[in-house]
Amino acid sequence: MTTTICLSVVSLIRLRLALGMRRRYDTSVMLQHNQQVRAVLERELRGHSALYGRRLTYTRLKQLGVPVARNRMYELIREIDPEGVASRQFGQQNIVRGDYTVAGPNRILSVDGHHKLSLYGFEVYAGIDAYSRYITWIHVGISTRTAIAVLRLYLDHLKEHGTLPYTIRSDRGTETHMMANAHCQLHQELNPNAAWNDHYWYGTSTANQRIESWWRHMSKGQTIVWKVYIADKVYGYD
Amino acid sequence: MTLISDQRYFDGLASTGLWSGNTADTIALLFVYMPIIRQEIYGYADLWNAHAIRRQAGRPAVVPGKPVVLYFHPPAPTADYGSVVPENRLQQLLQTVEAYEPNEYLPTATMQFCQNIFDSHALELQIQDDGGLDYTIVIGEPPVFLHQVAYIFLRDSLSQHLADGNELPMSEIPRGAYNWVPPPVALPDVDLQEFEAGSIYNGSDGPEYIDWDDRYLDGAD
Repeated sequence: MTTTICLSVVSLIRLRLALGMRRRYDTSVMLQHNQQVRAVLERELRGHSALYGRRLTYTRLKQLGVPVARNRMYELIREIDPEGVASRQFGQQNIVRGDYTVAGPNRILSVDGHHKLSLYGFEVYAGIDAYSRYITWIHVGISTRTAIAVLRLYLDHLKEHGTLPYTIRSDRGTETHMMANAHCQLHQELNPNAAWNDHYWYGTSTANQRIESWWRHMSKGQTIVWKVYIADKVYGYD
Repeated sequence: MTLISDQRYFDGLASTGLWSGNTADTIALLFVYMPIIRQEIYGYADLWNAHAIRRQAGRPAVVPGKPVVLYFHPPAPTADYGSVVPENRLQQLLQTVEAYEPNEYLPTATMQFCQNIFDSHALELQIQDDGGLDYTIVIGEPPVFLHQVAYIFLRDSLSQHLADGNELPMSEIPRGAYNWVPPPVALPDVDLQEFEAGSIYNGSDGPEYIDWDDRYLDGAD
């Protein structure tokens, strides 16, 4: 993910041209390209991307390898899915949020479980880096509410990731105490005088802003669809 | 899209009696939907990590940029506060929980039983080469998602199997943290007199007490 590539400007231009990425297009080419993008967008909007905002949709198109200018894509979305765009207007941020400053990456890892789907047996646990909002750790399984499960998940994450965050921030859930213990033991291995209070912060769930806010994004983008789908379609079928 | 409240959902399940722990529908739901939901949620996290967070005029504290770039290459002079995980200690800790397999959602025997049911109807269910479902496929008139058809089919087959007096094992939730024995810790050498004098802490006038109220205010919400 973090590979460094050395590239001259000329090579970059040549690579972009080889991929068909130009700065200016003939109008006819543009119209044809619009058709291609429209086909991709229509397919994506049928899936779960229907709930994504335009910036996420833009990133999704880049992941799919479809180059398109942002404004042109926004125009197309408005044409294809006017109702979706209108419905998302109500989701605009109207909560006044306080300032949340973090010194740098790996300073605070904000962790919590998401249990909106637990009813059906699907439990989510995730950690988000409070500075960059990078999801370093996410797991979907049948059990994220027991201390042993969360400890194992955290250690597996560390093994894969290799970086030990400075502080973990969580609510006072019963599932966190073994992870807290292990995290502090690892820090004591590095620095025998490491203080527990520096490396683990317990606090209220509502102030665990980064992860709770991300759950809101994830629910809007993903899990609500499944929750409604399973409740409505699967159980309403018989 | 409307959000269905948990209360309404519970009422619905209670009245129809469709949800009761270790039954065919629990197994079928996990078998059909766990791979799909994992793919969707992990995919969403990848998308989130790559998307750009905007600068906001009224909120100067918000750091703009892509999470993945900010995390691995923070703009100077922001420092990275992470440290390298001490490998030996990590291995010791992992050994205490190695019996638990976090990615398992059904035991092998039950997984194999469900997979056999799927494989015996591979053509109708359009089973892919890896043995799974393509959850984007829609079939029939009126159109129905294929995974929905697969779920109902699997659930009915499992109900039949269980009604015949057979049993299917479920995965165990790893309880018992109370009895967990942590690996031994090498305690740092602490001079008790030095400790009482307070010089072990940064402050020279006794142990430093932390104002916990301040700690909890790490985000006004």
